[in-house]
Amino acid sequence: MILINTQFKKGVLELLVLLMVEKKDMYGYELVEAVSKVVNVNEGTIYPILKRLTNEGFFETYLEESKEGPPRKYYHITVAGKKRKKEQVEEWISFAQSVNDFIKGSDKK
Amino acid sequence: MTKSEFLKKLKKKIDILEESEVEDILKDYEGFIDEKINQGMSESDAVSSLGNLDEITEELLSAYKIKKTPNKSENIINHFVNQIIDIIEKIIYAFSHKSLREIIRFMFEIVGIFLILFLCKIPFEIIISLGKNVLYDLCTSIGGYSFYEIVSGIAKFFIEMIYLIFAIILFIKLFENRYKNSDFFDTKEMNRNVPKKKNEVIKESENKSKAKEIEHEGLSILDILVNICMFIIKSFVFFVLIWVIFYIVGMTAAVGISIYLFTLGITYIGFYLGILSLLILGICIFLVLFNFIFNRKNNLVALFFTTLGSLIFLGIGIGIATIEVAQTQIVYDTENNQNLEVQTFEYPMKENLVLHNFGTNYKIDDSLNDLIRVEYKYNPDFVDYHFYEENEMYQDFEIITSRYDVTSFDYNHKIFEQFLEDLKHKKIQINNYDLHITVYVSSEVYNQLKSNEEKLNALYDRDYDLEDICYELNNQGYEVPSYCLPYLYEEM
Repeated sequence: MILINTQFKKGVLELLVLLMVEKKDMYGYELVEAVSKVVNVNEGTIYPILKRLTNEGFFETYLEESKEGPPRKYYHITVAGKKRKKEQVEEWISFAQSVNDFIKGSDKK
Repeated sequence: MTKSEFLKKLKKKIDILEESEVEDILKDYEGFIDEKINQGMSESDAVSSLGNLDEITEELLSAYKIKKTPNKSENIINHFVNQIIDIIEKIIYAFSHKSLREIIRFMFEIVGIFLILFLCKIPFEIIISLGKNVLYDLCTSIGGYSFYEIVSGIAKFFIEMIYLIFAIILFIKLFENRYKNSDFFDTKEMNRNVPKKKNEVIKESENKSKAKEIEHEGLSILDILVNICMFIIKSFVFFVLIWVIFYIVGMTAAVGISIYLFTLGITYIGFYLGILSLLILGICIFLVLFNFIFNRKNNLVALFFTTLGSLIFLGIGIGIATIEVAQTQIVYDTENNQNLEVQTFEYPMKENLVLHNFGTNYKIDDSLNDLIRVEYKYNPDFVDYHFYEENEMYQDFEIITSRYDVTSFDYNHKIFEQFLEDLKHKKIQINNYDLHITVYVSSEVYNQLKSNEEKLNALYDRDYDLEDICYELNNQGYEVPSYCLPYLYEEM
């Protein structure tokens, strides 16, 4: 589990959510559970991210009946969402790369 | 915290959003909590697993691009100052980038806000005057008049302060409501995220186009006022423009005259320069006013440099003109002019003679004895005279009146030419074309003449007085004495 600060967390959470929903359509609770397994986060703060990504057109939602109770809202990634995910992943990789390089550099000295 | 409590609090916090959005969000959280409970978690654990409510709210609002609502722990004064600075910034920006029309409209709205504030003052004034009466009775019975004055002063101060605070808040609120979402302060550089109120969650673009539609649909009273104001300003400018046109015509004529004078060889360069730059300045002003009336654009750079240039030339011109004026010689010579024409008339002195209209320039020459010699001097280049005299009797006195006619028509023309000729040499002659009369007499004759004149004047005075008395007597119906008859008959 990773412990991180808010601003940083936002970016990471968005990336994670994008990656998960790209794999398969998921509903809110399922997503929150999945994300909180990876990152230590207040589960309440994941919904706003879903909301934002939907508002910005990266996700589409649809309702599907469930056996246990009321219908569930599923999230589906759009073309724009896929593009966004790609950008985010690249950004993350280059970011992580430069941080790693820096760590290696400071180790030598 | 229970589920319903949580949802209630959350609902309150995101109240700013559209209702359907609020419902959607609440459903999400409700579903989450229900799922947790289904998994075997207790209700309160499920709720607390969601985390801090404030944090959730902040995140949610930011998902709608809504700025975090001001934190209560934040310094209120700081916030207030920031807001004011914000508004001032916007005003300055708006004023430097908006058209006159929009600014006038804005002024009217500010006046409107002040009017509202003024109306709000009325209840406060009523409270103050009512309170004064009550306080007067109360305080004078306790501590006398001075006590009343102190108490009422303090009370008035507090009420005024309350009004002041109230007014400031009201002003800011009204101002914000009007301008936060309006186009007036809408700028690319200063675009801020503006909270969308419940009823305004329609997409931004829709919002704007709607607002514009409303603007185009009907003229509000404000628009009419603005139009009237623009019309008045334009009419005023138009009248100014007429004067500017006259000015330009006059200045053009002046430039023409300058060129003419220059070709004659008169070199008042400073004046010419000044006149030319004044003409150019006039044309600049004309262009600005003209473009304003017909809503045309000015070529500001060219205008600026032309104006600057002509101002500089005007300054140089004034400087040179001052030197030129200082160099100009003003000549008052008349008597010493060699070219003057002299005409002499001679009259024999008589005991009862009075000279009239011969001027005051008497010169004593005892060799003349009983002869009176009159000299007329004038410059024949300009003017020619024909001199003669009129003789008349008044009672016992013989009066000679000097008369002359101008016979030459070259008078003005020659003066003008002489003036120009003199200007070439930076010289102005004054009075040299006047007529000068000198009377030469012996001292004895002079005294006699003066005494005769005095006597005659006394006679005139007496006769005029007498005439008045006779008229008065006649008017009042008295029988008039015989010496009155000539006066009365004359009138008839």
